[in-house]
Amino acid sequence: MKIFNLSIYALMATAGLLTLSTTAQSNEWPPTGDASNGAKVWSTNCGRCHNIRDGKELRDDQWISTMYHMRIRAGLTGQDTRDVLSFMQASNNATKKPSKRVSKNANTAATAGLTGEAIYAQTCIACHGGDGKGVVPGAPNFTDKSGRLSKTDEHLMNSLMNGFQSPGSPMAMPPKGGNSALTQGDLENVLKYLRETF
Amino acid sequence: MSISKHALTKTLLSLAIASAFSTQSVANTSDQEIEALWQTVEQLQQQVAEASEWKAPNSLIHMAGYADVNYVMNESTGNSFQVGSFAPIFHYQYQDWVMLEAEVAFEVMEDGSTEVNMEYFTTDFFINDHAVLVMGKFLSPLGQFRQNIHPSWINKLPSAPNGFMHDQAAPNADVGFQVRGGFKLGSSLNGNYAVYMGNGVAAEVNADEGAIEMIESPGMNIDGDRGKNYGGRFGIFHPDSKFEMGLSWATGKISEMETSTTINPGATAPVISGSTVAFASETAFENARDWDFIGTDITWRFGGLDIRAEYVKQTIGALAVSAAPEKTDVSAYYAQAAYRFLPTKWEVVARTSQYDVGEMSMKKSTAGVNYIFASNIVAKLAYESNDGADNDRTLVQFAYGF
Repeated sequence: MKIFNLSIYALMATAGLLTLSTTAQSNEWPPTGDASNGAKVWSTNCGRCHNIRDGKELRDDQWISTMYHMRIRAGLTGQDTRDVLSFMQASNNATKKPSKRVSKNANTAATAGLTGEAIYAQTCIACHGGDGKGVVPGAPNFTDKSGRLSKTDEHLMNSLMNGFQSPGSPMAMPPKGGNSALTQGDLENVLKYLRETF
Repeated sequence: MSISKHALTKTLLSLAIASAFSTQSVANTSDQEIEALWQTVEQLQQQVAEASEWKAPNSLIHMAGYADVNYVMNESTGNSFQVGSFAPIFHYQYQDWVMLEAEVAFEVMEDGSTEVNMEYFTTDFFINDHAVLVMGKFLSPLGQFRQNIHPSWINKLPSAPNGFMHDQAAPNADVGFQVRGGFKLGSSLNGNYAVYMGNGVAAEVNADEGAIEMIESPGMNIDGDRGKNYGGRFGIFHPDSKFEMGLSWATGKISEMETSTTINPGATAPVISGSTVAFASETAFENARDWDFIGTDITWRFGGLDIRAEYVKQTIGALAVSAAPEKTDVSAYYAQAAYRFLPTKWEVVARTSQYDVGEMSMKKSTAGVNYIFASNIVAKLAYESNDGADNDRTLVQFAYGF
């Protein structure tokens, strides 16, 4: 009985240490995270138990409770939870009808310091993979000569800007890969990187 | 994607001003007209603000869950339509501080009656980025199938593996508390953990056979053996290879309940009566036996391939005065492989499982094909070969996760 009681105290002490020794939570509500990291966590973690879910299945507010529920179920960190939440919220109106209107104020300048390769590694690689063959169900194989990259630049830029639903994919690629901070110039650099690499 | 309130307001303001300026010059715009325009803009701002209220209140109410309907073709009992389960999950959340979770499972019995069970009810306190305190009745954190894989829209076959159903080798639930969460192990590994303490489980002893028949783990609201059970699971996940391995361990005491077709005046364990009094009796306390659990589970995904396996074992210590005095092992394993033919929605699955209770052994082999309408809507067809007491069956299931 003495050993048992000691074990109880040890367990509670461990829980207490975990409580006190780690970083505080975000005070921001509703939380915002890094959608790029969220895409990576989404593509690798969700399939541990179930089919990967499409952002369009739930509204923004529904994704909040769903992700906090999944944080407990899947043993995610708070930061990963917020990142996936941001990605799912960015993805749930994934595809827009292509606009024929060309804005004279479109930001064609690339984000400072980010090459197409760097943006691909940050935003695209979670689903499309380092080798461009796709790592989530339905992601296209960029190395296929008659595949997605056989389309025209105009077609591909439209997909990058507005999102695209691949046949058989569990979800559509969100506009700008879910990273709304990317400019048209950034996406042109990404497309150039895709052309040169795959 | 959330539409920025300010961006929308700015757009509306620009449109309103552009519209006004296209028909009148600045010089001809009266002060009254400008004032009217501002009033319109303010009204629009108010409407946008009101429309955005539902997106981020401090308190959120949300419902998820799953349900399934089945058609079972049994070689001896014939063919039957069946309602599997309807299991709504309620979430009540206050910001990122507290969440109440409750799953209620409705099941239709063979006689048409409905059985309702509280699968779990917990209050979850998000302590920090790496720890959540979960209190109440929770799904056992030991192993993976019972806590994460059993919902019908997630389980790739229409039935559970042998040994992983309710009151078998894998504990189902407990009442107590747990601390669980995740953390990074360097740059390439993720860790997840759950440590818990609860009232524990109960052994059902068949006095006529002199054997332990099953271990019940419904999440009992009383600790009859007066010995708390505690343990947990530690998992390591490598995201790049999508490989996860988990180890589970627990120990404590186990209550003993005796079932018998005859009245045994010398029975040392409380005869099961459906009453919690039996659990709380002095006899139950005095006849508490040692209980230990070990388990391991793995998951690996590669392209369309999904491989999963789990082993669990509960050991009940010897008790000389019991009707089943011997030390008894209750164990089970399953190994499952699924392959999805991308980019189609078709998937094939095969699984083998075995459940051992003392000297009794039950093996089941299942193969099936699934059509995945959407990530959360699946139609399944499977054939199940049973070596134990059950007959071979063909199962059809339509499962929906919501």
